[in-house]
Amino acid sequence: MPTLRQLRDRVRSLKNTQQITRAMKMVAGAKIRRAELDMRAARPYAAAIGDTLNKLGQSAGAGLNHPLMQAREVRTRGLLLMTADKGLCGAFNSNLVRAASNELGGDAAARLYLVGIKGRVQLKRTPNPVAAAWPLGSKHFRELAREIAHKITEDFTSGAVDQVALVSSRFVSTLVQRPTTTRLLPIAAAGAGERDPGKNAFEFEPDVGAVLAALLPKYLEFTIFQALLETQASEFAARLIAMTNATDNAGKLIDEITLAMNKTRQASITKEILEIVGGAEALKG
Amino acid sequence: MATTHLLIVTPESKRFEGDVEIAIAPGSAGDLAALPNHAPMLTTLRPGIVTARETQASATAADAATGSRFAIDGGFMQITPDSVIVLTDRAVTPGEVELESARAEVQRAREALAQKQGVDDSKERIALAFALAKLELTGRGEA
Repeated sequence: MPTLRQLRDRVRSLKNTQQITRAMKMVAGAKIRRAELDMRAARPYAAAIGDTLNKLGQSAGAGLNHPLMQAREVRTRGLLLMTADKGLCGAFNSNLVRAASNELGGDAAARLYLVGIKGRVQLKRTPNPVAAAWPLGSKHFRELAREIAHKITEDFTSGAVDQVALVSSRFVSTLVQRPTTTRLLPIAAAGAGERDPGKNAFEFEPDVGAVLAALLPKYLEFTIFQALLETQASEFAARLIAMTNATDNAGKLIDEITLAMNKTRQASITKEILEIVGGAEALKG
Repeated sequence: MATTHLLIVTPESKRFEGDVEIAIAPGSAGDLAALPNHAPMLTTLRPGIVTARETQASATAADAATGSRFAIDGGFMQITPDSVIVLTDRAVTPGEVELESARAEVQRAREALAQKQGVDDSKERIALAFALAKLELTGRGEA
């Protein structure tokens, strides 16, 4: 049976913890709103560039050719993994790292491109070579996306990797974030090959090749940019949930221990009264 | 009068959406105007100015006189008979241009360009053209 003082100390320490988790919860709640707005603001561009690429594929048919679309025999794989910089967000980072390991399936030669400090830390002991690593929150996402796209493009065109997959978190809702795996390179223009006849054929200026050469790098860069936005929003959502739970749990524990504390105090008071009464009786006798 | 649906988007936001009578953009092979019922077309864009003349219905009083103008730093334009989509990295309205910093940008881009002789200077050229477009948007010169 713990003493009254021990119980009181525990309640005090729990209240401190709860204050911290509550603060983190509120910070995540405020940030998630901002991140969600950013994410939503990127959607019109996503729709437009996807649509443009499709139309390009339909009009130009199978004649499309660009270094970033070149499918070749896969000898070395590349994997771009996005995680958060910080923990305290439940299983968020571990889920992403697990999805990445599943994707690799023990392929120790695959080159890793890591975004986010947590991913790098958790993968410290993998045999896979880390080609490049960036923190998630160091600079503006547009700039970060450009840098990542540049590095990956370089490695892909030089033949260092023959295929690049992306593992990032998809923001479904505040309650659900799902690790997803998509293929980044080579880029496949949907609709390529099934040529759309006649009326809908697009004219190109200056020509198909030039439009494609300008469009594909932008498309890659934007895809990475969007994944960064979603991963960031997912991180905040995961932290919001984790910290809400932590705050609630701390509250429950505080209630329980306060109850035990009160019982102990009552017991000691009862005992004291009994002793006083007993003493008085003895004196009377 | 017939209209076409114009959409100007950047990765960060939707800058313009509305029905316009005409949209003029700096195509890579020369400025081009998209009217309703234009043949389907995909083109790359130079840095420059996109001008749209809105219909009376969708334009606010201030826009109606001048139309909507944006300085862009290159990108793409997709034209179909009933829509025009401009994809660009940056699109700036006249109200957003800060005269002093735009002038400084022109200055910096000129200097950077002068230093890069013989090397690939496409980035600097784009920066300069974009800065100049921003200045042009304000209607005031470099001085």
